[in-house]
Amino acid sequence: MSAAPLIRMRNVGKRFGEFNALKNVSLDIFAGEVVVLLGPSGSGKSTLIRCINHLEDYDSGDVFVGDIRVERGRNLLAVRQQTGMVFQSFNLFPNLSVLDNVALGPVRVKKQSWDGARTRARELLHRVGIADQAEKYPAQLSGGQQQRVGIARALAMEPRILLFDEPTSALDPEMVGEVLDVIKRLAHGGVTMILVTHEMGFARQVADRIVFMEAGEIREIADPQTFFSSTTNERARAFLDAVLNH
Amino acid sequence: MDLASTFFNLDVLARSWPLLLDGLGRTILLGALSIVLGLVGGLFLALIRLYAPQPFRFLAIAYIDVFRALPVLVWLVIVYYAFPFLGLRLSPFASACLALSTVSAAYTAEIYRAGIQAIPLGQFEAAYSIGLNAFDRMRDVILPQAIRIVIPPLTNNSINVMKDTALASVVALPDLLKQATQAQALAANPSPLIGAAVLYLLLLLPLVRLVAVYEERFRRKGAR
Repeated sequence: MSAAPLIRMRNVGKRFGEFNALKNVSLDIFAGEVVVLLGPSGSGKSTLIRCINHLEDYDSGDVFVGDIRVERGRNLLAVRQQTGMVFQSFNLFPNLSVLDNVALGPVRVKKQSWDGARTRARELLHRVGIADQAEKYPAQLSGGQQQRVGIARALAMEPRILLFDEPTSALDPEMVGEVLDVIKRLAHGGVTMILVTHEMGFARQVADRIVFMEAGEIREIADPQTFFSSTTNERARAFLDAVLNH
Repeated sequence: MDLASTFFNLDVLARSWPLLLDGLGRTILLGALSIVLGLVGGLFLALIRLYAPQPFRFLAIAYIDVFRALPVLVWLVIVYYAFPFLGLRLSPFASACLALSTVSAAYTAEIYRAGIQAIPLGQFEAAYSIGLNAFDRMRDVILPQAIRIVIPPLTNNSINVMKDTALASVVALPDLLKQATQAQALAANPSPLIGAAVLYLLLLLPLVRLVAVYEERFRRKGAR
């Protein structure tokens, strides 16, 4: 772990009007790591990962992806090529087939041919278990299938890190498993990722580190074993009691 | 002097038919050209209004507001009768085409804007997240969805442009209306005017129906 971190956040602050979404957040993510962000809603988890690919502009501090500072300007496209994102509400392009949803980025951004990008897209769809849906349109798919297309679309850009923003929160309960299985396989395959999720069992299984946030601040960073069974942080304890005992 | 021989005089109609057809051709040409120019110009105006740096944005808003407030007929008369004083002498056809398409662009710009603004923020974010640049974002993701939404209002606007071509008779363009009044004077019988009205209806009624069908389909899809 002596290598330079893939993501470096230093004293990052973000306000929405009067609301302090992030306060002085510092965090390093290393290649190959699976980091899960936990915390009550409104604690700044989503804002944190959205600052990494600049879907939110932070007000103070620094965020680096590799050597590139995340900021408005010509470097931003490079940052976004290196960071894939999977959204809570999938955000697939309804006007494109499933296959072209996945192939579009490589064609436009990496200047690949449609033929080559579609071949690669088929492989990715196979990898997330929906190769047989390639010619359909997003609206014809179930939520779980749509989210797996979302994952394939993010993977197609061969990013150095995947950002998951509550990937299963909009799914019917019976579809959560299929999406978590795909994410789990990626995690075990060495894909670097940051996950915001409310699936505690899943977090415990896949995470290398748990980052607990509350009120815009990082309150604790721990390995999952320590965090779930013996955290000494009072707020983390209260959070776990609330979500695990119901 | 019965109604039929006054308004539906087949003999007069047959004699004025070539003149009417000639006018119809010019009306269609003027309308189609103005519609296309208005659609293209409006798209650029809408994108400038939404995404260009501030001074350009302001200019686009000013353009759109002015041309939506200005009566087309007044603008057409200015183009044809006043521009020559500036050294710009346009033919009746060019004057009409310029007047109609500049006004149409202002209307279509607002229609496109509404369409683009109706696209959920998540679509923009997904496009950002895979690194698409502004041009690809619009071409591949936003506009295909936005234009699908605004096809009915765009078609409505096109119908209006086609109808407004009749104003061109004021600057002596031999369009359908002008040729009909010409034929009416020649024959001392109003049947050519009725003939012209029928031709306008034949041209535009299918489009009006098309919008209605499309809107009905859209409404049902939305309700599902």
